[in-house]
Amino acid sequence: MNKVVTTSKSDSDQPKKTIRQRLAYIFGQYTIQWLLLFAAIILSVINPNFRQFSNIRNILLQSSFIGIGAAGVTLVIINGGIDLSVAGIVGLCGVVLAMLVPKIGIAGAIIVTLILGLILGWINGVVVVRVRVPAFIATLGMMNIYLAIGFIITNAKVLPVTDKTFRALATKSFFGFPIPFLAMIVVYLICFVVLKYTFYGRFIRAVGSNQMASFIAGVSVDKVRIFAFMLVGFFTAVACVFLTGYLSHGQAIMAIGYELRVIAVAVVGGTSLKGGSGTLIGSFTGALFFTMISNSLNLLGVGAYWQYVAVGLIIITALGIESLRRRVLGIT
Amino acid sequence: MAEPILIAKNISKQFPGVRALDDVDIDLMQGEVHALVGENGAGKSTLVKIFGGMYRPNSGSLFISGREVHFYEPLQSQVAGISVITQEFDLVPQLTVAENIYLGREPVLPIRLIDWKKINQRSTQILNELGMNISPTQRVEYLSVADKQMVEIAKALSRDFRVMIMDEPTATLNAAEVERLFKIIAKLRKRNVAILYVSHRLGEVFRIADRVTVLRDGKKVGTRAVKSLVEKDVITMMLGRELEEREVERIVSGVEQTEAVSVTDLNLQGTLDQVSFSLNYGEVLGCAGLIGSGRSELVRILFGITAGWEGEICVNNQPVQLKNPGEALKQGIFMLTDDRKTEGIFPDLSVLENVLINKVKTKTVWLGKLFIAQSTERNKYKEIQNYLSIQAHSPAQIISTLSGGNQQKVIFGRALVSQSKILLLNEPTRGVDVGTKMEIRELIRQLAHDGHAVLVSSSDIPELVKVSDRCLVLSKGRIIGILEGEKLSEDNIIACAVGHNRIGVGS
Amino acid sequence: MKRTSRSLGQTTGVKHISKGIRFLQLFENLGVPMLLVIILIIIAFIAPRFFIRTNLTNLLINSSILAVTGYGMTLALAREGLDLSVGSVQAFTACISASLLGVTNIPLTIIGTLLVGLLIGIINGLLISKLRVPPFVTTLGMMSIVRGAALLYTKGESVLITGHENYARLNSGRILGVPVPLIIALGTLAILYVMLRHTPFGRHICAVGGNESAAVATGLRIDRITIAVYGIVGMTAALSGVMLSAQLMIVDGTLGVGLELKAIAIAVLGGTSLSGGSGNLPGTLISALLLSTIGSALNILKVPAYYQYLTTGLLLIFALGLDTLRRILVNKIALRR
Repeated sequence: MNKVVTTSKSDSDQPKKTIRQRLAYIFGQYTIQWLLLFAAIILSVINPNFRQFSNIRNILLQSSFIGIGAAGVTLVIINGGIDLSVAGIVGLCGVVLAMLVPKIGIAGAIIVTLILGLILGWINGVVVVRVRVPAFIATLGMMNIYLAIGFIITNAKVLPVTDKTFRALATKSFFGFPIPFLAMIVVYLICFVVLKYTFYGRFIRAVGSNQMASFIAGVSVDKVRIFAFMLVGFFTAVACVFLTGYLSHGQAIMAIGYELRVIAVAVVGGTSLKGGSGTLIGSFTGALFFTMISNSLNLLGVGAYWQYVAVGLIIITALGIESLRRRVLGIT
Repeated sequence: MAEPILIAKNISKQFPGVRALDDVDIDLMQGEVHALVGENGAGKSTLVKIFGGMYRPNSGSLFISGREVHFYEPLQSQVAGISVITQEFDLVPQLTVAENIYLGREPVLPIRLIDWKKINQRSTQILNELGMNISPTQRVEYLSVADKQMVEIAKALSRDFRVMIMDEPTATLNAAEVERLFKIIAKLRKRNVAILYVSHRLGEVFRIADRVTVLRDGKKVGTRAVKSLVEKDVITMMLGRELEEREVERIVSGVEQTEAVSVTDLNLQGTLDQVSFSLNYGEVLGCAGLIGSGRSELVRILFGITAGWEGEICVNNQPVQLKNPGEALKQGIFMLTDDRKTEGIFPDLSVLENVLINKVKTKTVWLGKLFIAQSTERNKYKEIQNYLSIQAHSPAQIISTLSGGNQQKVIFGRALVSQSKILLLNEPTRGVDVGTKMEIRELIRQLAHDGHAVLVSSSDIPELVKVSDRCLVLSKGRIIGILEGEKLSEDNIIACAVGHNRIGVGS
Repeated sequence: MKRTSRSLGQTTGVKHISKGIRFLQLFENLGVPMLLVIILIIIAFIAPRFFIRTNLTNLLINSSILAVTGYGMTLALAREGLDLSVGSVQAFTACISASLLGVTNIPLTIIGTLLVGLLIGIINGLLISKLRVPPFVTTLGMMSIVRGAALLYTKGESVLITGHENYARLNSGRILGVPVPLIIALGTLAILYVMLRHTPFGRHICAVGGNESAAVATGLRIDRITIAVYGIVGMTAALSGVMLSAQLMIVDGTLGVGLELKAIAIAVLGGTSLSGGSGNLPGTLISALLLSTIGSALNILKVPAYYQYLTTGLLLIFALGLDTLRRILVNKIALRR
């Protein structure tokens, strides 16, 4: 094609930034990563126990339970939605898993659990998208329902998992890295690839960014949103597999409060609840960061109770900083 | 003669890349209805926002009753006695009419509870004065658009505003509601309220306005007494001739014209009436019509956004029922939206992704359908970027940082990429600088020459003349004219468009 | 000229829609009470032991405590926000009340506890309005902080309230035959209802929640209103903490876990919309009664307690579906010609 006449006035690409703005930009883009780095350094210095290999390994292991779930939740937040039912999904999947391992073996039980996670996510998606109700409250309701089902099928009992191989999955290490942590890396890689390199991933971001424009561009908005919910269900189920193995039991309320923790990780990691943009690497480091903080507080003999306070302060401070950063940069 | 109550002198407002207002003067007298007209992009809404305190002018001054004022926020303009009534109502849907009218100034009993009797009584008083029959205890969310507007007016009146700015007040009213509005405007006049009436509907302007100010491309063309003009004069002032224009070469397409889309007896209640026409491959079909003629609805129906129509639409000789844009795209139809902010741009995504968002996967290999071929996309993007001269320093640049003109080019790029043979272009050069406008027009001609069927719906009449082979003119939901060849001229289009100027119906 | 501009039913096509709206409004207001009545009737047949005095008393007491927290949540929702910290605040203030009882008399204890709740709420309000952190996140963080504070304060142990039989009467006493907690719940309802519906401040809360830009344009002080609302939410949570400590007479830092989600559930069930602009306080109380009734009935029927999760969840989804329906009908009215 012949090039059409040019000479459009050149617009200045970016407004010139002040030093303050530049600092805010750099710091803000990688806030959580900086924090992780600083905290790791400071904590290693303060407490020699922290630096121990076994401790680091423990941190990596613990972070994976929340981290894997946070990956899925990050995706659905980027899509413009939210999923509060993950605690229920973990509970239900956990008991199903515990029931099935003795019956159909590890591999079979895990596959069934993952499929269950997909189904539960799909149900969430259908309720939110087709019944057109706000995701926040709808998934809250679904959580109650999944929890109830989990209780009902176990009669509120705790189902122990005795299979040594299964428990090894969650506790043993591979080349020094805990298996669940390796799984977390894989999960994040998968999510990253999906988000950046597949069409559906692009649609997830597009729908979260501008739902109407997505509709006009011919994207099947409903399908994309349901897909995002299915992803949450799936990855939550993955986290559940490891958690069940680690706790060596399955129980309906095994993950109570889980949903708020994974959302906190995603949000502190830098994903905005508004949708459209988010950061997987932020959630990854966020999970590590939170785990590291509670681990080191434990080591310092600081009770679990101070950890609650610490976590809350981190959440508020991180978001307060983010809010200030936006003001300095002039973003609404 | 009294002093004008509102005077604006030398108002200029610049946004990145575009000069919205350039040295505009305007004044309002008490008790007058002063119309403000101009096509889209002329600067009307910018001026209104400046009066309302939402924007600050880069230069110029405002005077209220002789005193200079500066508005740093909307509240200050209200304190100065200016009320702006727009399409987005400043009403709280969950509160009642009376509560909305007196929001922030509720009459209270000695025990600090709201005096319902008083608030309802006073509201009823104001509403009755304006001839409105709305119950003050009705929740606003259940009111019709026309009634909501009434409440806004009542609210302004109760606060004793001296200046009321009405922005497209009749856009969504039916004939009866418009009459009601006019009676109210007459009453407001008697109370010496100054009204700035912003509208596209020239028939209304000629009915109720005393003076009219015409804006074009951010400049004031003139202020005249309405009595001294006819409609055609106003339109000429609105559209005028653009300076320093190169004549776009009219590439006569030698392609044999086969029918792409045929529309027969299209009806949409209240908007379109027995519309029939055909769009051929290899041609540019213009679509003209003032706001309210049904022009934009027509395009939205063709793209599957608007439903509820009757009639027949055939694409490539097959009748179709387009239920959503996805289906339209499958039929090979692409629509360029006129409101890129709400319907076009993905603000968080990169330039490349905005261009390539609905690229149909060309690879038949399964993996290709799932995964994005990065290098193919980058090449395609570079091709488009080059072709349209999109100013972005990298494909990964987030689109919200681009200027409006470049964003429009990106959306245009999307049209090119979509490989659709049928293109519906809605205001293709809106918000774009002059140089880019010319580029886009040449591009449109080129597309037709290459065999596309192009429908251009535009409020820019000279543009339509330059770019179209044939041109439909709609007025009040009907096709009043199909012009081509020598008959395709600005004057003729205008004559058709204003032929029967209907008040009210349709949007 | 005769004007026939009645807002509803003006055009013939809209009559059935307006009937639908009227039906829904009716349902909104009476739906949950009717459901409650129906369920009570069912219970009368299948579990008559429900109606013995001790059971009813417990039911009313538990509902009252839940309802009080629900009122606060209702106001937060009306302001288009929410408060996830109410559970933690309940626990913390319950523990505070236990300590205060050790040093001062009952009235001052109550006042002191309420002030603590007020303070926490104001901090929430400040963070939300000044720092512009979304309510979800702010109150999530606060929930964690206050929970930690409660556990730290009691050092993880339970604290017995002894030697204050009068305090227990706050829970077990009756005035004219009505349990005191219910009187507190009704009294608080009355006060907040009047505030929300009949004072300018209450209407402003709804204005800010319903259309914030309109509120700004009208000159309302958004920040002040927000801070005040969250302050009230904190106070209601504190009040429920007082009531809880009087009921249990033994407090610890793990009380109130999951309370916030229950409070949201009863607010939404009661007819308060998530999109802000209105709050149905009586509905919140009735929903609290409904949930507690179902729980109690299931208990008597020896149905395991966890079935309540199911009923709560289903009821929530059902309530949401109705809300969606209502919104669709309202839109149809607004767009009609």
